[in-house]
Amino acid sequence: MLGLFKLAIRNVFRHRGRTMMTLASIVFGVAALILAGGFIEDTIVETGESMIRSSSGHLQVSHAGYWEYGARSPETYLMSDPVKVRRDLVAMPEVEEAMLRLSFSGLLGNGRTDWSIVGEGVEPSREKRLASYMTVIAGRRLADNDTFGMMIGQGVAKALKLKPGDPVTLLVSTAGGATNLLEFEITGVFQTFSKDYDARAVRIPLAAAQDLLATPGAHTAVILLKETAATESVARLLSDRLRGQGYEIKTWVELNPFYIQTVTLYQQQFGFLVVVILAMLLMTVSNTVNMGIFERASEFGTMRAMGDRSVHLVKVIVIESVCLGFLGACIGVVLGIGLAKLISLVGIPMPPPPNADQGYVSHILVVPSVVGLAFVVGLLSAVLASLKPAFSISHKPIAETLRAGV
Amino acid sequence: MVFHTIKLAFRNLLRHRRRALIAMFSVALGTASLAIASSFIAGMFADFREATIESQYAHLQITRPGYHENGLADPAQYFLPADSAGKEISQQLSVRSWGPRLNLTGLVSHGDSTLSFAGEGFDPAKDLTGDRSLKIVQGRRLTSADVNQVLLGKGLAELMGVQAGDAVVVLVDTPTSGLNAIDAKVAGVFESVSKAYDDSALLMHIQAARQLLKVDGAHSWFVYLDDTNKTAGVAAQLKQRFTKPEFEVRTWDQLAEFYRRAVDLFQQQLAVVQFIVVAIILLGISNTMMMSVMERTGEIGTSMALGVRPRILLGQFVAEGALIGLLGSLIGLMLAVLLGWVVDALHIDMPPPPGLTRGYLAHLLLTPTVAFESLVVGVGATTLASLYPAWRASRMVIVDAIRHNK
Repeated sequence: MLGLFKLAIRNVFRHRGRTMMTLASIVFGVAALILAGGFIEDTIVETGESMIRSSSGHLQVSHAGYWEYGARSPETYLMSDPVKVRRDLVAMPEVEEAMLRLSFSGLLGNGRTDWSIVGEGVEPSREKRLASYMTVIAGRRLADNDTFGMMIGQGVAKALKLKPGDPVTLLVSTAGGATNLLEFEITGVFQTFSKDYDARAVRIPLAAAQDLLATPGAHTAVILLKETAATESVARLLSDRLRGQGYEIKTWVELNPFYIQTVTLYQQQFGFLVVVILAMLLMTVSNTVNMGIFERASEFGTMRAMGDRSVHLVKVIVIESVCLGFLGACIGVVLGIGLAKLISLVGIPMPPPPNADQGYVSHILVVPSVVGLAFVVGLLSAVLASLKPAFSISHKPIAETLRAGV
Repeated sequence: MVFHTIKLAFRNLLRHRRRALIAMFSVALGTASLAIASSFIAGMFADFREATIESQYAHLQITRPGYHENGLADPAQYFLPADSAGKEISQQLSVRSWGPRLNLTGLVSHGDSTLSFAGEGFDPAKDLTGDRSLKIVQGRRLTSADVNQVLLGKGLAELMGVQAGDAVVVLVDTPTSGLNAIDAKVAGVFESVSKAYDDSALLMHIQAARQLLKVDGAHSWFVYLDDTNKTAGVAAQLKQRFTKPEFEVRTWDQLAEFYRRAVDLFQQQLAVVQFIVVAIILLGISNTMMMSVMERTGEIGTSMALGVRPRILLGQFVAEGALIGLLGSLIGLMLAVLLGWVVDALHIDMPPPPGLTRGYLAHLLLTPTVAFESLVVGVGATTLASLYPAWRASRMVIVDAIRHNK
């Protein structure tokens, strides 16, 4: 077996020109896969982080049933003791910060017309640690002492032509069907990853919201973790602990259905790309391997004339291709990873996605599973391509192959 | 002369059938991948485009000038005159129907739950009549007689816990005459393409909307055509009749920002696939052509010794490359058409794209433009790949070439 390998490697290096050309195709294919896969992975990770860091946080704890029925009668789905829940959460080592929110739906008026909004009462200083993807495009963030300050989404500002400093009225209905009207002053305008969110979202201090809805409670405790990867494990831990107390817990993936849709879309596209690259590689590599083998017909004829079995021939040829594929895949992996690192250093400026206004700088992640896949694709394309010609050349009549090319 | 070159090239291909076939097949695969990717995207957007037009923007909108920029903040300043002023629209060729829309924002309550809504009044006889424009998921659509009935977006209905047949109160705050309310019955629940829209949408009869706002006019006239491709033509006609400073005419593609951005994004991704396919074709075909040149060194030397000019030889090999490209691309297009039939026959359901509620049926729309583009890329890349080998062939030294293989 070792002898076969030595032979194969010698053959690979005997035909430098052709080997180089075949290698180039494999290397290109493997590197292209690593880059495309790494780019898509980065997009997915970036999408996830932008959702977490825009508003949803990693996890949200609420009264059981709040997500399903909370909008119908928000006052019955208040957390019974939010401050205690928060204290427990912050004590966990994985938790970076936990903040309380109180949601409401209402009408925001600029004096001439109303705009339907979805509002949240928040704790400004704690939110500041979470919302790194929430860009303030005018004015400033809410501060803890802004008793009647309000931050609004870009879409809200655009619809109502509001700018920082403008007074607005907020009309909400409170428990029991009464309506309540409060005046606020715009402190700032924000933009998140989602235009849909920005078109309806407003934020006011938690105390003002509690005042507006005449309740001392909160609807959700939003958890910011130190590591996104810990989301699932913390969620499991918490749901065991909190279920008994009448709470439920949602992860950021559950809170952002958009994320799953994005991931599915990108995975489909990556799947198509893998198929295209594999098929193209197979054709090109089989082309070169095929020609190489038939060019050497007399060489193989000679081997068989001297008594080598056709099985031996098939082995030699296939092992040659394995060496070629292995070499190509290795170079491809090195090149792909190198390019990924290099491109990530510079970054790729991307236009805003369809639902957003902000462009972003994309990177290329080195994903072990994608690198593995690319390696296998490169190796397989060479091996698969050699099977058919190896079999047919080793079963041709010896006399015919011996005289080939003469 | 040209014909002669092509004839020779064709004969040379026939002479090396195996090699020519494999080369053609790799070009075919490349062209097919391109055509499939483009036509899949074209098919998706054709569907998406019609859905966007029918359910959200109509083909054309006529408003007061500046309404789209400033109208939401101050809707009272942008009322159109009574519908009779727009009767000329119906006289336009290609206009299927048109109807007024009146925007209003307010609160809708059912029992204890009160939510804000973004609503529109429309004329059920002329607007949102078909399943394609308004998909009713529960209950029924409005008729001209249903003045005191409303349709709720799916998200809004779920949030409120309201079913078709339930009674709701619609409350609107008008700047001129204060709070107005009407009692209404929920005729049905609808689902549009956008989840964000469904979460706050309420549709009602235009008469009810006018009654609530105490006005006669509308904010916009939605004009539907019988063919989307005629949009620009009809827009030009209407712009002559409905001139500034009284009116403004906008087409759907000026309004549908999400659609436009999604198209841009997919075009970009298509460019990546194109690049990969072209690169692999270049590598693979130049490899094959190079080998063909090397193999035929003796033949090339003989031709040159007989007086064939280097220029002619260059043309000869380039013609061979171009022919491989053309035949291969044609095979590729046929493959794409075949796959298109298979895809249509299989009825493949695709998941909804990010941000949308509805999936779609996979369909390959192989338009002449898509076919032509793929063909150009396939032939172009193959011809390009044969340039260097052809140049090498034409630069051979006669004496060396003629003695090659001896």
